[in-house]
Amino acid sequence: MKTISPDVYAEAFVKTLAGRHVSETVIERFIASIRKHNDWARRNNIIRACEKKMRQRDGKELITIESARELSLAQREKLSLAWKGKNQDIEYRINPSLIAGVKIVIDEEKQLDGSLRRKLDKMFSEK
Amino acid sequence: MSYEIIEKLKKEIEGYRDTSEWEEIGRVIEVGDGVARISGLRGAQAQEIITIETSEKPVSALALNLEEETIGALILGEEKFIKSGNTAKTTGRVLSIEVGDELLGRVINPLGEALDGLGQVFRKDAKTAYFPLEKKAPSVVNRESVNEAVHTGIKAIDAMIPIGRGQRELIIGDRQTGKTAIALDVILNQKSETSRRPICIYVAIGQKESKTARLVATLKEKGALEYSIIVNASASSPAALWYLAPYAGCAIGEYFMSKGQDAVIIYDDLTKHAQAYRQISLLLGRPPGREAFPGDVFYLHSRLLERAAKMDKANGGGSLTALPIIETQLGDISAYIPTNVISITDGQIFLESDLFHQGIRPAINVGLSVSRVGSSAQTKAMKKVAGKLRLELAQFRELQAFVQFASDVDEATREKITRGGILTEILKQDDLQPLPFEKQVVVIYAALNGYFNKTPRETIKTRGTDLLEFIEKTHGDAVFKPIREKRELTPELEAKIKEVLSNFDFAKA
Repeated sequence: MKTISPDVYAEAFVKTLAGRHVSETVIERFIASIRKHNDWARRNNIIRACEKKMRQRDGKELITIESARELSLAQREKLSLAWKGKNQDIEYRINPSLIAGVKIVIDEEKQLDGSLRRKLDKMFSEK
Repeated sequence: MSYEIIEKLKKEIEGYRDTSEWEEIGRVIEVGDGVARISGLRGAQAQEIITIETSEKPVSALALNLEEETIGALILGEEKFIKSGNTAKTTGRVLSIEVGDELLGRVINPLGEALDGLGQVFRKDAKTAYFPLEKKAPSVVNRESVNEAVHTGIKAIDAMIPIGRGQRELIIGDRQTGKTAIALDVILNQKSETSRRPICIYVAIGQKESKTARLVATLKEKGALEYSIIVNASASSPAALWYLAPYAGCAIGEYFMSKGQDAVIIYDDLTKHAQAYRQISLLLGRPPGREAFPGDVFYLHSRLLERAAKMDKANGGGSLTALPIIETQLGDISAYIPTNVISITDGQIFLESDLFHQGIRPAINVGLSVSRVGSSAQTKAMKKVAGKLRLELAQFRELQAFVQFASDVDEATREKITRGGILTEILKQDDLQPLPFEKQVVVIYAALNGYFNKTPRETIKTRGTDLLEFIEKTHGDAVFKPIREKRELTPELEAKIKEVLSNFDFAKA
């Protein structure tokens, strides 16, 4: 049997929801269908795909801002100003392996890497 | 000292300029057995290098399968660092290897990294170039037909199955029949080539490290390492490197060919290469075909061997000769991979374990071995001498059944059997002792013209060696030198050879 990819699940879920409110029965049936196809182990991927599809439907983007240490309130405000007026969800993450600086990822498809780690990697990999 | 280092580092850091740019990224969703599955990266090309950022260091991977939602990539670095969820980026580069003259005498892996502990392959200011591992074979208009011989130093091959520069000649046989020994002799014999000596590239695919180490030691000892390059993907290296090794070796060969030089490349062996490709294909989820090999296993070898070529004068006149090796099981040359490679190459040298155990070494089965284009490249001297050899041996093989009751057959048949036996003896040759072609010409001439008829069978081989030593000492300049230079057997030279041969005592035990 051909495996169903998370994107296909997400597509089906979002289309079912078109024009109506999220009801418990819809979600229960969706979960039952995931279990029926033996894809319960991949539920996290499916949830992520669904979130992405729903954002796409609403014309939104997910901005993930990774930093080595917790950003202060002032820093966060400064960063969020850069995205002001746009339709976005902003998520903050801490990733100590960056050493310093920030990494900005849009919808898990595009990234702007301003971390010290990348600079060091690049400097040492150059001949 | 430490101050100097710190100052240097400071300078490096001060001079470092960097601009961050938006990059396209993907995520690793699955990793294991040398392959990774990556989501995203919609702009990736086939055969492109992908960098996976891990918590330790960036690891390279090669995009092989471009599917609807994911990419199947072959991991080229250390797999243990990669975790599901790691970021992957495209680089815009296709897989290539750094090539240059400094590769000569080195042992490298298919990614171009040194394995011989002699430090970096290239100096910082070395003149190098990057050659892609996958390249289209030279077009038909840029080639010319094979017209010069690669002398292997093995009497049976140079006389009956000659190999030309730019040819693809398969060496096929069971395990322990001397396939690698022939390849090694070919490399060693190039030492005696005075003009246009070919560069030799030995590609070890899934071979034992000990075997490769022994081979390198032999080459070094005999002074052949200086014009050789060894590309090693040992049995303990991942399948990805087994798969890439022949292409890396070929790229190096193409570098020398592009400079107008000649190169000989030995793929030892393509059976293991096909197995590595089968493993990778199955892990990537490609549908299995016959013997579980993927559908494109023929193309895998045909595109590799098609890159062996003889270029025309306008394109430098270089050549790349390929000697692939295939290992058979119980002499079965009709199995899948052997038949594929036989049909791709321009001939094969078939080695048999029965002959090997009878003491006929090299154990070449002359009946099943052919060279489809090499005869046009054979030197005139050898062609003149060896013309009759193949026929006589073929007749001998037909009559061999009568050998046991040879006394009951007529005189002519008995004579044919005797001569066949003598020729078989004279073609025997120990390994690591390649013979320059001018010496081969003389000894085969003597055998075909009946000079060895009175020699006891068991001493023919040693008397042959003695004969060459005798001529070298007494008439070296008058006999060997003209053949080597003119590559032709003129009537005067033939008369001279006859005269010299009549002075030698063939019957001496």
